[in-house]
Amino acid sequence: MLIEFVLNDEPTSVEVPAYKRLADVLREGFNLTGLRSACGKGYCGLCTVVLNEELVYSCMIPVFQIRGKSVQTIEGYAETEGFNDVFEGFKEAGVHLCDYCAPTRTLTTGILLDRYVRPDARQIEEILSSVKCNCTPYETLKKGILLTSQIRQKRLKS
Amino acid sequence: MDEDKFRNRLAGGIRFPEDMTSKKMVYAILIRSPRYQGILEEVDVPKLPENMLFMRAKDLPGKNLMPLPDCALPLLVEDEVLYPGQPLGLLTGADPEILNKIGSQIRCRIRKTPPFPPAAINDPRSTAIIKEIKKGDLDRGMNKAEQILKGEYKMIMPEVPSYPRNNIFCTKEGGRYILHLHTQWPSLVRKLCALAANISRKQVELHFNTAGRTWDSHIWQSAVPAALTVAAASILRQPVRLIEEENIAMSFVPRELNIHYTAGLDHQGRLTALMADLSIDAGAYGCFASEVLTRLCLSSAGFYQCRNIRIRGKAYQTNTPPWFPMAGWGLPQGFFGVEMLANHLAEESGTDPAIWRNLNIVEKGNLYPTSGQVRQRLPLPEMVDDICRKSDFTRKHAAGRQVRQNERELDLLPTGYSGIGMAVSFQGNEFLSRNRVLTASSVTTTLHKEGNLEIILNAVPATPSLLALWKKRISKRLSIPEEQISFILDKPDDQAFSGPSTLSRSSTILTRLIDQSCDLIQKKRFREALPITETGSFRRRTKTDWDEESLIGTPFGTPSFAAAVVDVQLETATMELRVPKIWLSLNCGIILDKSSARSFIEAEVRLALCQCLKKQAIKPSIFPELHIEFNENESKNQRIGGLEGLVLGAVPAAFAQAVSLASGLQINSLPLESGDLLRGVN
Ligand code: FES
Ligand code: FES
Repeated sequence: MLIEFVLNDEPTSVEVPAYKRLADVLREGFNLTGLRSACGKGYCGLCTVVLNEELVYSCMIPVFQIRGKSVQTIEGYAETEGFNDVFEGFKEAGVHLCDYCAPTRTLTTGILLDRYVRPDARQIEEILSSVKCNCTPYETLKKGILLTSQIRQKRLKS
Repeated sequence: MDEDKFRNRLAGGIRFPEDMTSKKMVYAILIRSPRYQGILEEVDVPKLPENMLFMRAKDLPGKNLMPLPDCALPLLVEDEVLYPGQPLGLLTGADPEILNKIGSQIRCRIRKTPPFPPAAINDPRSTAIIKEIKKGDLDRGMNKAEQILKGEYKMIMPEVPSYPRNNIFCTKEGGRYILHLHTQWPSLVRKLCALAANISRKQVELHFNTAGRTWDSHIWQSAVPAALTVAAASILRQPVRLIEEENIAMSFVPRELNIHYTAGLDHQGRLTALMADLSIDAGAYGCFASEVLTRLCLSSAGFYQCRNIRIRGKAYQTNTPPWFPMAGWGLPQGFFGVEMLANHLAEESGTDPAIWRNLNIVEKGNLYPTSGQVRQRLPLPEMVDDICRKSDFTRKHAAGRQVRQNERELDLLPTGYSGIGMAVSFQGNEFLSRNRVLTASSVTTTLHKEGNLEIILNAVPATPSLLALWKKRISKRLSIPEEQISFILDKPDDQAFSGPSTLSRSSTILTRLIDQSCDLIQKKRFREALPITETGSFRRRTKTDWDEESLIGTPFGTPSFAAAVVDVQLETATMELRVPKIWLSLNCGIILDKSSARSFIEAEVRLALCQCLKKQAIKPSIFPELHIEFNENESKNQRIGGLEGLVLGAVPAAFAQAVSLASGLQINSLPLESGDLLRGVN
């Protein structure tokens, strides 16, 4: 099946079986390896991508569903100013993520902070829960999220 | 970490084995046996296309054995299939889809053999290891007692999902096998790959990714597929990428730890005798069983003063996948038992649990349950007092009991109850066995001519932040800029073998070795010509300090201690449980970095709550408010203490006591769900 869509701001198309998972298509067909195919069943969140401005688990999406839509992965997000905010925020807060979850954590934090410019406690919780990991402490991550949000607010003001 | 590396990491620029491809690469999948408990007679493989290969045990160029403490695990089944999902062979081919299709057509025939005898029977065929701690005369102690109390406790180990999966990529370059994988025990991987492919260890070059904390058996499991991948690459002379199935056959099998206690108390509530029998499922091969069981016995004896003790532990084999060691290698799990008992004894003797503990904890000059002398006063009594004050434990505990006792007289039932519980634990950051596979550790430091400092660790630090901490520490010690300091986690031409990075060994033992070698370099630095190389190796304790066979002596040189208080809220109608607050008091010598230590503790609290609440992860919305107090000791000879397992040892028993108080039910086993409380059973 030929599927046309926009990937990281570039119109593109791919010829794959319709039932193939978006995660596999992006990783194998486009070599976008920042998203991880970890649990493969919608549990860990490590395969999250942005589909028409919504965060989705790409391991749960059959590829036919992206026809005509726009997909953004961490590789695309890394080119934006939003990525820079997260980078600065995490660096300043001393957030130590493992290599495996770091890209997805960055993407989800950056995108959700677009939605919650000044996140309250519940919204911070939502950002924290976007990737399931039992090893990064919430405390430093929270600090990283708050710093990112401050950096972003400053940037948007100027 | 320098900025570019950090940016690259966040931007997804780091490659994992599953991201690797190369031109002539073939894929490989493990074919696992769906049937078990029998002698393998035949593996029926359909006719394979030309470019496909099925590698069995007999095809391995080297040895089909993984020498682990207490067992030699076959990489591929040779004769007996002991558990479902045991690997039968490796199927390789160019197309993963065809590979999976043909893989699903492979069948095996086995001749049934009897299962392992049931755990209750002492049969050498199923009993991997038996350990015993003995002190004094148990009968005399029981006879002296005014009150004899019993307790039976059960813990089912939680499933801890771990990522990344075991994907492995291996390619050969100029006589060397370059292996990309995820591991926290590179020495073991290298050794095993060399054995399986019949090559020298120098020929194995590892490139591994750091990942989050490894909690349990994942510490060694990537070594088996790695060895098979290297063996396949050596047969095929092509790059091989092993893809790990999604529904890995090691899917969760609930494992139980059961501890039965009988304790004698005198009229003051002091222990006169303590007897415990514990048993644990060690899986099919019983690997690591002696270390785990020794630790279990040790902690189930606790650190209460008692002259007459007998603790007997048994690790039995079952037809389930090997899974040892669990988080903390058995020490925390044993504390669950003894601390549940301590709370029960306090209750029965009408004493506040904190007061009971302080009355019974060993003092300087007493003997530990393992007969070693207590040379220094334990900090626990002060920690218990302190945490009680901070959490208002005594009042809340008494109030909780009062509410439960007067419940019948109340006209209206409250909409919720609260409960509070306490427990203590310790940690020793060393292995109790003298097996070099576990204990070996060395650090080689070289100061080069240009002023660069290179440190070979042969180990992966358990947390990624540790490398940054070490850099800072060394930079300060030797006045060398951080950019000039580099770590080599694994060196191909190095024959040194290192044990696994668990039990806080990296922050304690490796830091000590790094400090030692840096000090030696500093001494020689301006006197001798560069380069200067210094090696520090971990020296195991002598047999007179600790005899691992008879379990006599002082098991740990520098233990760390923890006291925990857990607050629980219970909704009357739904029996929904919440843990609003946890207080922790920790004494672990010098702390390398407080904020990393707090992070580490927070992660353990999450795991401990998974253990308590039958959850795979604790969401931030239900994560409790944490009050952590580090009692750092200012004295000169203090060492860096270990943290791993401290919280896991103390929180579950404190949680169970809090739930008992809140629900009015005697909670004797974990994990717990609202449904269990609604049914009134545990
Ligand atoms: S891989 Fe998609 S949610 Fe885990
Ligand atoms: S999974 Fe990456 S830090 Fe936990």
